[in-house]
Amino acid sequence: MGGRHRRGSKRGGISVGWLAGRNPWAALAFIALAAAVPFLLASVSASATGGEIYARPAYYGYVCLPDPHAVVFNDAVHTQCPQGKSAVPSVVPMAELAYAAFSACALVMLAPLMPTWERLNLARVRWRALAAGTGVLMLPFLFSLLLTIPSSHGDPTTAQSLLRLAACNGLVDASLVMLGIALLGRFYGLGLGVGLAVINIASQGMQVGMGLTLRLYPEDIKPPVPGQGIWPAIAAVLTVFAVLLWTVTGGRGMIMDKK
Amino acid sequence: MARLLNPLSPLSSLVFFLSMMAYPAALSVRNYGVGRSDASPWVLTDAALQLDLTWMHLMTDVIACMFGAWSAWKACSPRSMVAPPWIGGSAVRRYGVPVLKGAALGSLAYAAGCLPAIVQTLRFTGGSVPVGALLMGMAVPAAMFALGYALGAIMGSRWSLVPATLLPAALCWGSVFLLMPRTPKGDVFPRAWGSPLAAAMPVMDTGIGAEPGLSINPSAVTARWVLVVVVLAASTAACILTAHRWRPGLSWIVAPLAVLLLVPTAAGGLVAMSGPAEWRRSAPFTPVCKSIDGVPLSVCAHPDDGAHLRRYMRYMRSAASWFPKDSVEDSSGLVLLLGNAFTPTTHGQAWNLTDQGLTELQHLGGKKIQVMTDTVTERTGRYSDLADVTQAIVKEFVHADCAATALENVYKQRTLDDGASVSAFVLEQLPQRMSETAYEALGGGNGSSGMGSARGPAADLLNDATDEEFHAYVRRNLSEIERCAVTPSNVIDDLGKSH
Repeated sequence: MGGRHRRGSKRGGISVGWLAGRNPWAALAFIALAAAVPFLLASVSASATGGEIYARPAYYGYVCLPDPHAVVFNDAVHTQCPQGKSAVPSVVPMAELAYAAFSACALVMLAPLMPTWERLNLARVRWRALAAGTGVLMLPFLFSLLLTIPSSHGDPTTAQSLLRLAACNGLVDASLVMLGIALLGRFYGLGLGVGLAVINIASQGMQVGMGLTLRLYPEDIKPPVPGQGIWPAIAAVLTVFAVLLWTVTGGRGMIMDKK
Repeated sequence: MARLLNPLSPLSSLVFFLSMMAYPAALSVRNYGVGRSDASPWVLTDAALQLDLTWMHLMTDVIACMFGAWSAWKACSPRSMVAPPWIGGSAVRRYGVPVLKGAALGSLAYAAGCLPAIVQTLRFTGGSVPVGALLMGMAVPAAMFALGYALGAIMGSRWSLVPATLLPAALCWGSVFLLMPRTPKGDVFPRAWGSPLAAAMPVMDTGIGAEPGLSINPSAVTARWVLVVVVLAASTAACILTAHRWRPGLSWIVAPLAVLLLVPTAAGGLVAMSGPAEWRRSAPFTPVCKSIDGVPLSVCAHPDDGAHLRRYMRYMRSAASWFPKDSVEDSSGLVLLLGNAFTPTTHGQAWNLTDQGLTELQHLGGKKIQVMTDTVTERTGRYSDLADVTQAIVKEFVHADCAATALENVYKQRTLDDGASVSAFVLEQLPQRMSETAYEALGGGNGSSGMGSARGPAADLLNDATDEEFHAYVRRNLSEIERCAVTPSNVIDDLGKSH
């Protein structure tokens, strides 16, 4: 009787509790990697003086932003951005990719192998899912943010601003993956989540046109990116929604409930 | 149709075919102005089309590998109930046929996606179909399908889609971000150009731009397709090894993985060592040269480079308008050579031209400067911006020896004292203003700020003048400026009264 309330306890040889049928140690290992590796990558790329291999980004694109100072050409010249706009680099650093990838692995490790069995105990499963989901999203994020607090004298270093950007954008990517896994389960959900994150990066031009962007850009970019002020609000809403969905489905995927 | 595609599933083949086609087709439509009423500024040259054809297959590669894994994991794995390996028949046929069919589908999807770009370019430039470049691009999705298929058969689970996405992505990322282009040192640019790795890796920036007369080396195409055949064979062999050696546990996996990964790598290394260069530059050609009336200024370009020639003629007409008629006749003149096609291939040659072209160039006389319009090299890097060209024009046509010392101090002096400092101040701004006016001739540009550190009534008038006012001023007073005969009060009288 008492065993049902303890995490991972055995009753008659069968593991019970939310972690039964999942890989908690693998998930913990991935969370630790998601906390440590982006910091290492950010420090290493910040110390690169010029084009070293380990400082290469994962993806390098550009976004067209409205710019009152943009040079105007008539149609005879083929420009990178349409009239009145200039191009601003949109970079996905390796640190962000590592953060999002390890968080995604942790989420996949937490998906159950015995979803129908858990159906019997869904209320209790949900509480544990809430805790685990919040932990996967927040632990690496808070740890990275802690590392970006500037020291008592001076401005944040380049490594710290890189890490801050990577952690914030990585959090959004991880939330999108969590959203996908909560909707479609471990396999297809991973595909959906990764697809959503890629669509987010690819549609930055359209988002800028609408005035709100789901990615953070460096602060000293010229011309300034519109909508950066509301990023914390949008990211918070997205994160809360993803955790909510993950909790409601118990990290099992909605499609599994249909069976 | 289903029987034609057997054993690939027709529905998933259709879905994957459309997604493989989507990205190149979207790029073709967006970058080539397909469907616009006036597409001429958007149509790229033959050389640019060839460069694009070797680049646009990046997404298609990843999707082809995913298609391979998706087709294989259910039907071909030993764990499968649908087509277990003990079904009779030749193993080569059982695994080789789907690999070949899928590879063909991947190549066809890429070719179909690039069709809008090819048709649009042929309509507007009248060149021939870039078969070599298209074959270079089509090769990679074929190889990627085979790779994915073998991964699916080996892993036998739908999670094989994960390495089937990550492996081609890593390969493409590595070839784009880790392999840096080179430029040749010095004054010559070889006829055959390209890193030896370019035939083996999916994409590579070899450092050559869209030069007119660029073509792809047929040996590179052959080398890449030989590599593709090796990959197809290795994948089929890996599938057969999986079928024959599968047993519980993991010891069986070594042989198929080794064949799948090591054999193509070794073949790629051999291809890279034999090193066919990917690109061939223009053969010696006879340039098309046009001269500007009134000043000894000419522009020469490759016959296929009409768009750049027209644009630079407009710039040079604008630059020539700064000099009053017959004011620069004594100068030997300046000839602009557009682009890297002119760079000689050996040290013995002056330029990459036919004998007729060389004599034509000699007849034009004057100083030759080579402007960068396509490939970045050490040689053309000196004249990469229009301001560099206008600076050469000013240096060649405006002789103000009396202002030489003042020019050295133009960023140190506080006010304009005498005629020499005024001339230096004007001459320092002149190239920048000329290039801006030239851009405005094309509808672009905005105002400028002055250059030089001097301030004061005369200097401020010069700095605040618009490009038109400055233009008119220089035209009126060019000979006085050359003789350093303009004093600051002359400037105030001349420019001040027009305000």
